[in-house]
Amino acid sequence: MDVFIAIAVLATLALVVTSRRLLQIRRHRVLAGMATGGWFHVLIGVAIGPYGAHVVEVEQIPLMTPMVLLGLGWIGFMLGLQANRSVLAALPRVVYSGAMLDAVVSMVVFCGIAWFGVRWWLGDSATDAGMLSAVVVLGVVAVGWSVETRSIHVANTPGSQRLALYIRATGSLAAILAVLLLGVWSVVRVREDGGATQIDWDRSGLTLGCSVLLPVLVGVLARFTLSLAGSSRPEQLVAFLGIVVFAAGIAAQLAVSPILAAMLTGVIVANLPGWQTGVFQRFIVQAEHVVAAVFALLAGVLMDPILGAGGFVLIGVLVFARILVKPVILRTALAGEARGEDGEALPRVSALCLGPIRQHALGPALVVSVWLFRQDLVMRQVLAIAVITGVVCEVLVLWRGAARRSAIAEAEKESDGDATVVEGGGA
Amino acid sequence: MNTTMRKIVVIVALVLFAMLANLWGEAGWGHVGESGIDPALLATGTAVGLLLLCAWLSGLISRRVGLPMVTGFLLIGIVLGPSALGVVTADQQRYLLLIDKLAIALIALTAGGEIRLSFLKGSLKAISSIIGVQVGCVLVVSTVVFAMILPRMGSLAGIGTGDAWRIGLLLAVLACSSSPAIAIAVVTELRAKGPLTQLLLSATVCKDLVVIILFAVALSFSVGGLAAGQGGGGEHLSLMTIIGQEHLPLMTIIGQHIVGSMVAGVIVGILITGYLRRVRAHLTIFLVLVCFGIALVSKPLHLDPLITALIAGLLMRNAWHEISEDFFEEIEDLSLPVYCVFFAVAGTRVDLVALGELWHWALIGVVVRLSMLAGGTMLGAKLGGVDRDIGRVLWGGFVSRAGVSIALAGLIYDALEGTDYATPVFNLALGMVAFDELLGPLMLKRMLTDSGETGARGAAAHPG
Repeated sequence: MDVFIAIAVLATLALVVTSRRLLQIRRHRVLAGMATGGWFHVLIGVAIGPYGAHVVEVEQIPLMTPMVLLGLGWIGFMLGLQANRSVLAALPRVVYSGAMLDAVVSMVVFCGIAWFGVRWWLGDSATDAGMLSAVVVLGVVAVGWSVETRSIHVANTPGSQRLALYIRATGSLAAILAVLLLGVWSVVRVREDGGATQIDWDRSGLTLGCSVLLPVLVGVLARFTLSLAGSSRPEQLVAFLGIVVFAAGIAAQLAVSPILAAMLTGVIVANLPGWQTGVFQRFIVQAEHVVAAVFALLAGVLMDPILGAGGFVLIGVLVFARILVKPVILRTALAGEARGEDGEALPRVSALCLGPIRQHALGPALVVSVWLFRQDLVMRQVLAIAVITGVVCEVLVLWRGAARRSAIAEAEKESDGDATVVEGGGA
Repeated sequence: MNTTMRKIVVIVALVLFAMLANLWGEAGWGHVGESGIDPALLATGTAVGLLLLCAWLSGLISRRVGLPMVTGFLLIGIVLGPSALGVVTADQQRYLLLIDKLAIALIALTAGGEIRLSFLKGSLKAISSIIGVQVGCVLVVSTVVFAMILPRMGSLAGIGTGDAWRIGLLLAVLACSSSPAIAIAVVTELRAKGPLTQLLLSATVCKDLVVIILFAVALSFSVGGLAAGQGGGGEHLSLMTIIGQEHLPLMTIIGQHIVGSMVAGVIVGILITGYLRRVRAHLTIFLVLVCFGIALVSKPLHLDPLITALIAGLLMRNAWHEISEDFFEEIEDLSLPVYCVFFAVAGTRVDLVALGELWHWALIGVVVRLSMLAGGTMLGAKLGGVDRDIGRVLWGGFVSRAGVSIALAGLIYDALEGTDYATPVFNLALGMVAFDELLGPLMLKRMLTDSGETGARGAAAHPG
């Protein structure tokens, strides 16, 4: 099918799934959790992709490269603009330590699991470089957690509100770290030398230099350009779109991660003096849901769920590891924050504590960005592993949250009943 | 550093970045070697960003020195294109097709939205008179001039008299065309509104329909009769092939093409209004999707996207004015980025080398066209009872030629492909379009400014 028709189908679906009428399903807590994570959209992507109706084919996606780059640049720029000095200074120290702890532990644990798991699963069917990429991508996708808390927020006490806030802030910061980690990995160039895979240090160093220098130069240039746009909305739109596509496009040509380049450009733009980023945040917010939906749909089209038993075992291990490790990371990070200014302690037993088990919605977009430059079957299978792991974790946590809610409701009903009996007895 | 200097510095820096990135890719240090992805495709992202930013900045500089922004867009396209700096390569142009599709529909929607049916009804006599006389003058005189010029051009020295007349006729029809896109872009930029602007837009848009039909007839007449010895791809290509219905008679095809496009336009207008009534969310993305949808549906159904979008815009503006107000505001916001890329891409298609070789012949064609446009429009306006002051200056609005003319030149090339005439005729056609492309917006701006119809819609939204 014509690539233009494929683009039109993706855009129409993104428009439909983000329409006000469909967003109303978010009133239901469980559905809100699934929708915010983009998991429904991924399923729609599977339905229209090569494992469904064949409306969009995998071969068409490389032809959409400029549009995918725009989307990646959009996401990166959005993340970067959030890293404003004043916003960062307002974040409590515990958020930084939590995000750092999560990034380090997740990379060690999940890369470790992936290292053995991927080797066992793929055996000799993939190259060393392909396997290494799969390991790093699975590690990076595991960093951070979902920033949506409404669906598992049961008790509305000041302590639980504070906990929800920590989860959201730490999850957001960890997402930035995930992009950074993937960006650092993307500069590593390997070469096959006499059958052995070796890191090409010269090229890696050169690309690393570009990764740092490019956003700085484009960021300064962007600052100049944005100031020329004045207050005219069409001109602001031109400046914004131009910078986002240019930063991501140049990065793609230089073999630097487009999402990282756009993010660092956003960081620089947000922190140069005398500039308000509000205008651009308005543009970003307007299309935020649609861009996210497009990437979730793309992930659905791209993923190859024919994983074999080995792949599903790996998913099981990854889910199990998230259940074991993530709540511990959160608890460790918040150990020193037992009591807040309101004097109320953070809840120790709460559905919110399971929140970190859920995967960050950015994961599929990160894998799509890697696939764009490494268009092999392994990366599509890795995408499937990341997506299925995310869905399983999401369902488990939402199910646990629903169970906890009904338990509390039951307890409240019983205590109400007891009170009625006592009151009746008294009368 | 003053703002103009700052804009130039930013343009130079952006171009340098893009050149370095291209060199990096050519050296094999990028992703290309690893992923097998087409380097041109990978570089298209940079090209879009570069064209968008540089066209906008050069448009601002252009406006600063009193020229229309479109001139800046076109000039930067020429500078960045394959025949000058080569930052945007010929390979990348095919991946920028999406922008063309989007832009043509957007421009036509805008044009439709600018036309008031009440005005059109009242000015039908004037419009038909202007178009009829103008096209007639340009067509007859240009055909004669081209038939005389062609045998004298070095590369076409051996052309027979019959072929010279046939190809002359094709070039003359091309000379009849004007660019509704440039007219809309300059009118939007200058916020022009008034009887002259209305007459110009209505006439330009209507003329586009006439030229499409005329081109179709001329092509089927000319290509079929080319000298036997010159039978290349040309004998296989006729209007029917272009429109895609070889088995039907010409008038049926034209009727179906035009009437079908109009009916499709009505359906699109109703669908858009339905969306605005019931959903009304994500208007920018919806608009992009509409333009894209029109372009996509037009091809398999043998419709003209220009007519379809035009009728949709006209219907919405005139039948559901209030409900479509936000939609047209959205079009206005989106116009600038789309125009920047569309016209800059049109600029990249100008072949400077060919222009250098044929410039004197092209100049003769341009002068003849200009004089016939002026004479024909003035006479047509007089016969149509148009106000004398308007009739005297109106011709300046028809000079511009851009995307559609380049596309028609491409069709002439396809028709002549395999003959010795294809390349020189194409280069001559493109050379003339290049002159008009640069000259047209200047004359249009001058005409609108002198008429006092500019700035009517509140110039605050477009600060100079």
